[in-house]
Amino acid sequence: MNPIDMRTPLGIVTAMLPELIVVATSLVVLLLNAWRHRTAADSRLAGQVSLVGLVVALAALAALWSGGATAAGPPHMVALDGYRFAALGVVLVASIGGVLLALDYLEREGMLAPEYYSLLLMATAGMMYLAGAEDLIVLFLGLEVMSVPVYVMAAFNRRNVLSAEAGLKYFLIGAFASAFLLYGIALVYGATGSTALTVIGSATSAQGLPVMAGLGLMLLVIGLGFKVASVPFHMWAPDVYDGAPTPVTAFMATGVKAAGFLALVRVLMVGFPNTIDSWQPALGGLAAASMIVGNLVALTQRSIKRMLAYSSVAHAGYLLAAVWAGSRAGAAATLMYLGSYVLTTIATFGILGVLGRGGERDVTVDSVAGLARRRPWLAFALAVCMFSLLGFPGTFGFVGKWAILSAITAEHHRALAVVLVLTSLVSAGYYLPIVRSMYMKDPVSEASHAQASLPAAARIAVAIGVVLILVFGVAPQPVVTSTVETARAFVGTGLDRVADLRP
Amino acid sequence: MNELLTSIGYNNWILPVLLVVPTAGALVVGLLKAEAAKRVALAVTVIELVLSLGLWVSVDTSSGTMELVRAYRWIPQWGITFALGIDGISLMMVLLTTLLMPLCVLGSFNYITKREPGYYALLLVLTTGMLGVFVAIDMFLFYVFWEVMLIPMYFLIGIWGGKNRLYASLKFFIYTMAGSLLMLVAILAMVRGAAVATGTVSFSYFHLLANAGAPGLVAIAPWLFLAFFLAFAIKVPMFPFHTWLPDAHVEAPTAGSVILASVLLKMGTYGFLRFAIPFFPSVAYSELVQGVVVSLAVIGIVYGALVAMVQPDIKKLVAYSSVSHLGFAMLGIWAATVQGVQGALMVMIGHGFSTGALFFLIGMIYERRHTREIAAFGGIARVVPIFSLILTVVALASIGLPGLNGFIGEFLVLVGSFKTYPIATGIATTGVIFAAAYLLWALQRIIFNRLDKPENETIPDLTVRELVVLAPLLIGIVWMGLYPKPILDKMEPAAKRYIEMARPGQPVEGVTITARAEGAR
Amino acid sequence: MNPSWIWLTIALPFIGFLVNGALALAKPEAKRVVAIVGPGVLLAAFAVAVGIFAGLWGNPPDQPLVFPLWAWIGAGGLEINLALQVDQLSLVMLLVVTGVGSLIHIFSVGYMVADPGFARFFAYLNLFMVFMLILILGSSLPVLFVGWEGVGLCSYLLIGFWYQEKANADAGKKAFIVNRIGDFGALVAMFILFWSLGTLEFAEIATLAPTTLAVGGATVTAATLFLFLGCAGKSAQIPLYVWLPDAMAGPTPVSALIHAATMVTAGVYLVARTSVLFAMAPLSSAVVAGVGALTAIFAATIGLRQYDIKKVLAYSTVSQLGYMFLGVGSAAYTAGVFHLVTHAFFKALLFLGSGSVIHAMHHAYHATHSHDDAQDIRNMGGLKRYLPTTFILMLLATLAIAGIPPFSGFFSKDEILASAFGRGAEHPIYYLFWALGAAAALLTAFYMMRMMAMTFWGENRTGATEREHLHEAPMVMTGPLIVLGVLSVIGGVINLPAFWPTPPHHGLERWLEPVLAPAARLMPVQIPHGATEYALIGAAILIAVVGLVAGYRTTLAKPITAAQQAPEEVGFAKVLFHKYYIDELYHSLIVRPLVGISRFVLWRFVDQGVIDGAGVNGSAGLMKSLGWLGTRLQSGQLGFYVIVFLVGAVWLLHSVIR
Repeated sequence: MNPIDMRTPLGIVTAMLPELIVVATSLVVLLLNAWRHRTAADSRLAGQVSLVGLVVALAALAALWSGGATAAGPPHMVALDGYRFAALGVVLVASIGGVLLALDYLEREGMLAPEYYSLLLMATAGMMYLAGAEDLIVLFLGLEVMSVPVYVMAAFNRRNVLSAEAGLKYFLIGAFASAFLLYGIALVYGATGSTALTVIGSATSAQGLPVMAGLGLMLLVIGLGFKVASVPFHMWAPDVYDGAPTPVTAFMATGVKAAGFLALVRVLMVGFPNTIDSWQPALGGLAAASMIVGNLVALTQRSIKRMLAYSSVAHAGYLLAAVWAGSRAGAAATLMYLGSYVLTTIATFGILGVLGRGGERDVTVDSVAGLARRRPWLAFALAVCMFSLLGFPGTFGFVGKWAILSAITAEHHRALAVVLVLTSLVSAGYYLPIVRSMYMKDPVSEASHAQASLPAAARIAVAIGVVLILVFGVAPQPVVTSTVETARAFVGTGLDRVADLRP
Repeated sequence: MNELLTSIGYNNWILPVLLVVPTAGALVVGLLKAEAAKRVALAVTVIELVLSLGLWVSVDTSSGTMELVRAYRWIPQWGITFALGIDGISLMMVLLTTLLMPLCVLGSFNYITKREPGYYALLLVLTTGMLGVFVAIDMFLFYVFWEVMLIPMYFLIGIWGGKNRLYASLKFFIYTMAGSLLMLVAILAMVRGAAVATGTVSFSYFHLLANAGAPGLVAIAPWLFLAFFLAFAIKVPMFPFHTWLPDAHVEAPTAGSVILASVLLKMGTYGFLRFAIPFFPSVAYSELVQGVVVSLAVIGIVYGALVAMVQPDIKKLVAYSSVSHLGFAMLGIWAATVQGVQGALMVMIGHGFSTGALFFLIGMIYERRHTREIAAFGGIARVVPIFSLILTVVALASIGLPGLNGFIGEFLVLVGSFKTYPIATGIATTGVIFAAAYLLWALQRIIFNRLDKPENETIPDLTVRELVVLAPLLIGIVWMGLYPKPILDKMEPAAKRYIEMARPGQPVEGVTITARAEGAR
Repeated sequence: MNPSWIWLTIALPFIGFLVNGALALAKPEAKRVVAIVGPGVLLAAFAVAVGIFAGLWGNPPDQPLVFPLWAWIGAGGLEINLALQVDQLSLVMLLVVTGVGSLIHIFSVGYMVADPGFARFFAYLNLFMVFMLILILGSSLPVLFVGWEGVGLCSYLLIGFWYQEKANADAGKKAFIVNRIGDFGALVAMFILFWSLGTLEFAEIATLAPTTLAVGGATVTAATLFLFLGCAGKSAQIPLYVWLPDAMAGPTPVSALIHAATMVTAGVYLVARTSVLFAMAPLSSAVVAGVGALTAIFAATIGLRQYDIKKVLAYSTVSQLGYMFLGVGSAAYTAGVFHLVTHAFFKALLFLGSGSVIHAMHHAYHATHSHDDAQDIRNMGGLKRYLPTTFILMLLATLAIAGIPPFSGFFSKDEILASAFGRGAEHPIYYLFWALGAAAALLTAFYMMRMMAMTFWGENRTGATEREHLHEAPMVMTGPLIVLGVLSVIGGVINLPAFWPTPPHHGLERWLEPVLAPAARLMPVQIPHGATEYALIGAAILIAVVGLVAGYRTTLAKPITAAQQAPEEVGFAKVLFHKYYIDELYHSLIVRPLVGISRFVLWRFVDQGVIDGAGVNGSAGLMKSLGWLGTRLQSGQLGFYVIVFLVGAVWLLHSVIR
């Protein structure tokens, strides 16, 4: 236990060290770009620098976390508890993945613009604020700081029409959604007289939920629901994921989603813990809709990238189900599932990036036929990812799903659990064909998969991802421990549920 | 013997070791060249068999409860332990599995001609999965093994299978997964209910067994039972959840079919005996459920036999015959008399032997003629007398000829069920007629009649290797037919324990005691 | 010899089976060894049987001697030992089976020596003996059932011995399946008995049943009726007799051994074995007697118009088995067993005789490469000139089966008819049964004489060239015939009736008394005495004589045309020739519908159409099409996206304002 008083400058600096490091790195990279932005080497340099920055930030985070830093004194704007640390960890991993995948990809696809990295770092910083925000103002700031760079990144491939279109769409609807969020903040403030979640929490527990606050909460949910691509606010996702360069897609599908969910959890668990009945129906609805729509539509896709876009909607559904539980177990499950989802998705997109040349949109279920014969390890990695996304025992994905399911069933509401398992069953209908085509079909031609080999950086990302998926799939012990512990950060009285019983 | 085993602490390490050895072997085999892979895989499975044989002496099944119980720390926060245990029933299932695996490996030497290392590695992984299902006494662990088994089987069918293998493998995977996913929800719901009642979150089999009647659960017991029922009924498979079986069997390579029929199907019946019914006896023995299950079982017996009769493909024929045989097992399980349950267990084991042997034989003739169409054969008894002799013996065992293993199970099941469900048993007994009909008809069209196809005149008879594969099964078939007593005795306590759980307060022995006393006078 | 050696009688044929089986697979041409081992083991077994019999002759046991071999099945209250039971009844059967068996084995050496499957044949034959002995020696119903099914299996294998002919394989299959229908009954009977008595041991059943079950009660009636279904299957009674005539597809010694002397009589044996139960169930007994009488007359009529010498004998066997059931159904268990024994003698003789005839005919046709039917009596005629020994012996057998005193058949058949008549006093229906039996006796005499006449008397129709090659069979075949001939003549001595001048009277009855006493106490045999008795005897003899004479006259009255030129049968004769079309009836009423329904309704419609098509693949297709709808909505039009967004937003906001 090492209490940090966030009213002192030192306190703030210590508490915010990871964020500050990331911001600083992004500025450094920006400066670097100012006079070195010609060659591939420049781009790579920028990438390496930002990688270093992110790793340092991770280290700082680790120090902070292991130090057991806790907040001292009155309410503050950024949370200082295990859950935030874990959240930052997830976000940082996501952006490290984003960098690793980008390093060779940009070069290969002739997008020699080192600004990519500074944008990515800024977005990361935004995510970190968003994920750790304990005040709605910070939350909004974080959201915007995250979103604007991501809009640009989505359209990063200037020469590609689709990429440009994707960026524009994303930007337009994104602005729309931000407005909802902002209005929600205003209403909540109007109802409770504060933007600090803790204060809102005590207020709502005391007087119940006034309609105005309720509306505000829903507007918040909508704003964040957009970011995490939950049905019916998901329509942009397939087009954007599909159009954006693969590393960007990976970064969006992991980082943005993670940050959005972690913020949502904190808002609900700290801000509205005792008025759970008011928001559970809404979240339940969103969750069910996302699971059903995402999985059913993914079933019909041939392009793997687009299929993954829809499946990411489905995964948003699973995560919403975890948040719906509104218990510490639910919060822990969200965190854990995000962990597994981030690792798996990065690895998947990393592999996808090398399977296709000049636009992965043509990578279809059939074009990976016989990969296992030509590139056994690559095929194995992708297969592991598929089983993990499917949530099959032996993989991290299963552990995550298990956590979610136990959190839901603990709430004596099995309908959602049944929807979850049945839609997961449907997802087997599109994950398995990829495995099948890799292992059970013969290569289309002699030439196929000839140059499908991972560049060093991506290889690291994929390898780490796959290994962790398997390790945590068999021995989830550490992850479970940490997530369960971090979830204890939420102290709302309404949270003491069966799910939180100790064994 | 037992002293020797105790001196090396056999009981302390055997169960985990049995699970580790195959997987470890798989890692090695996967990296070898084809020839070496074969040899090593065979060695590993033989070692596994030898290791497991000790269980026969070392496990004292007389208590009827779980022996060798070991719980290893796994995920304490969720109340999950790596808990293993074994009783008379699982003992037999484990031995059945370990006995079959070497034969499956040996029987694949010629059949599998591509990507051998992967094939044998998957067989070994599968072994771990199957054994795990039979010895797991933590519901989380059980579920993991139950599901993990799908993957190797999925690849076995999908990569080394026949023409229609892609469809069959996906069907098999999704079909079985559909059942088990609902079971997963049910397990979690039970854990929660038990937690509410006791304040402890635990996936331990015993914990759930003790608290399955918790107030929170009684209300939803029918739904929970339904979930378990689906999972196991699909695996058995019971009519009308059986349609994955014919496809999977026909497309799977020989060893795959053997394992499917001999072990995987038994997991369904095992699940009923171990989990579904003991957890929710009041549901399982409610009028409705009894009616439904017993009718489905009887329908399965007759329906399976009739459909088998008209199959043009030998493997499909055997597949449907499995539906019929497992129907007997279900009937016996639900009868909840010692004879019925013991019979069901004997059916499970006996079917493992006879159907396994049948699939091996079909595979062997397939390797020679590259067809399984019954119509493509005829009169080959003259060309391949030894093959025909063995085929006849195995077919007769499967028909249930007294003196061979098939009879013991069917007879006990029918005797046992007659007390509980006389009418249903009467109908089920007609199964013995249809069994004769479809098997003898097939037999006639394959080995008898005129040898009218030139391509059949040059088939070579069984090789020594193939005889080595079949010999243990034949010995088992005859031994269990003539002297099943030791096996029955090993299982009886567990069977009685099951009945106590399934029908609390019912006299286990049934009416026979009184009548015997009268006889003594 | 100590009865505990009983296991030897089974072990010996089993060794024979192993040796011959091994030779059949490894060295089929070693016929000499087979010729020694095959019959040798049987003679040895017979010797053991005689030894045990002699040992018990002086002091017959009043309780069955049970020799457990090992514990077989044990589950709950059901404890079954593989145990052999020696008592008066099983001893009688043991002697008949091993004795007649040995003779037929010896005969087979000569009959089958030319066949490439010689070793396989003897392997099957020995295996059959193993199971037959288990059947008669088993101390409990399940053990008996082992033999019961085992003999069925061997019968299956031996009928289809020449499996290259589809017809033969079909016949074998038919036999097994029809028997299975019977076995279904036997099984159900076992279930009922086990749950009502708690045991399946014969000895315990005999003691428990009277104390536990109600006489004429539903339980015992149901049990016995199901039991009888089993017997009807094994012993070819209506409606399950259809397999036996087809079973003639097997080699003739098989027909003699399995389908005349031993296996087919197992049903009768089983009824006698469980006589207590049947005695407790008058209804069942009546059913047994009725079915027996009906079968007797029914089969006899068919026998009138058959031309295949073995078919005639087959239907005669069915008919004679009917007699035995009439006997045991009339509580005259001794009479039933008595007829079983005598029938074993003369029917075995008839079959082997026909065998030597066919053997001769076959050689004749073989020598001239003619493809005429060697079994069709229309191709024979006047054979007594060429096969004198066979002729004499078969004639004796014919007199025996026709019931001419003092030949063996007379005594047994008369006793049955008498006791049937006797029961009529209690249950008038039995008078009808008696009448049927008497009528059948007339027909029996008739068709047997017809067969003899067409075969041995009159003009030879084999063909000018073939005629040269007709000759008597070798000694190894005629030898057994002679022994059987003697037995058929004097066989009646084992149970002479009271009115017969010379003792020993009622030998068999007194011998079997300990076994059958419990049943007799419940349902005593009623033999009419005095005038009635003599009237009946007179009638029986008269009937036999009339039948024989008529048969001889009518057959030889008009010239017989060889099979080739034989005219199509007309009228009722045609119906008889086609066995009342029963086979066709069964085929179109049961077999074809069953297969059709299985293939088209169950498999194609239910399995592939409904469950798989609609259920499994249907739901998969539904999912896909729903997903397809989803993709349609993904139009790429920003405006539409916003609308969806707003709809969702409105719904969410609405959810908090209630």
